[in-house]
Amino acid sequence: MTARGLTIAGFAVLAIAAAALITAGRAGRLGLVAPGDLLDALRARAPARLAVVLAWAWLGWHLLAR
Amino acid sequence: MRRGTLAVAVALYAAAASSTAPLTGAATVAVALPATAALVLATRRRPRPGAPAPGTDPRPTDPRPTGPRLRRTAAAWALLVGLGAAWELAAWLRQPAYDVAAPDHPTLSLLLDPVTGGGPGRFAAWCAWLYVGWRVARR
Repeated sequence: MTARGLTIAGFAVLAIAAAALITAGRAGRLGLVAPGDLLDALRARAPARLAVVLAWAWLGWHLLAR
Repeated sequence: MRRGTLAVAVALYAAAASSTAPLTGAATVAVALPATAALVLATRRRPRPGAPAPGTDPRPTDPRPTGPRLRRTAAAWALLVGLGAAWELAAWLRQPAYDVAAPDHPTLSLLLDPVTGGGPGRFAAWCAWLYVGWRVARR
C-alpha cells in the first residue's frame, strides 16, 4: 500500500469509527449516549462549551476559509 | 428561533458565504462573523431558570443521561478526536512546507478540497458548519 493509500485508509477507519459511535449512541447500545446528549452535557459547563466552540470555529476556518 | 426561520437564515448565509473563494479575505471574514457570534454567546450564556447548576444532580424529571454512560461516551469521542488530530498532524508534518500540500500524505483539508472548494459541496459544507455552530452556541 502506498503512503497516500495508508493515510486515506487511516481517515476512513476514523470516519467509520465515528459513524459507529453515532449509531451505537443513538441506539443506546454499548453503554453509550447519543452525540446530542453529550453535546448538551458539554454545553452545561462553560470551559467545555468554550472549547467546543473554539474547535468548531477552527474547523470552519481550516476547511472553508483556507 | 423557529426551525423554519433558522433554516432560511442558515441557507441564505451559506449561499453568500459559499460564493467566496477559499484562501481569500472574504472567506475568512465569512467564517469569522458566525465564529465571533458563537464565541460571544458561549462566554455570555447563563443557565436557564430552574436548570441545575453544573456539577450538581439534575432534577428527577430531567431525561438527560448522566453518569457512567455519559463518561464512557465522552471518553470514546475524546479518544477518536485525539486519534484524528494525531493522524492529521502526522500528515501535515510530512508536508515539505507548512503551506505546501504533500499528495503522498494528504491532510483532511486536502482530501475534502474537491468538496469544499466550490459548488454545491461548498454550500452543503457551509450549511453543516453553521448548523453545528448554532447547535453548540444556542441558549
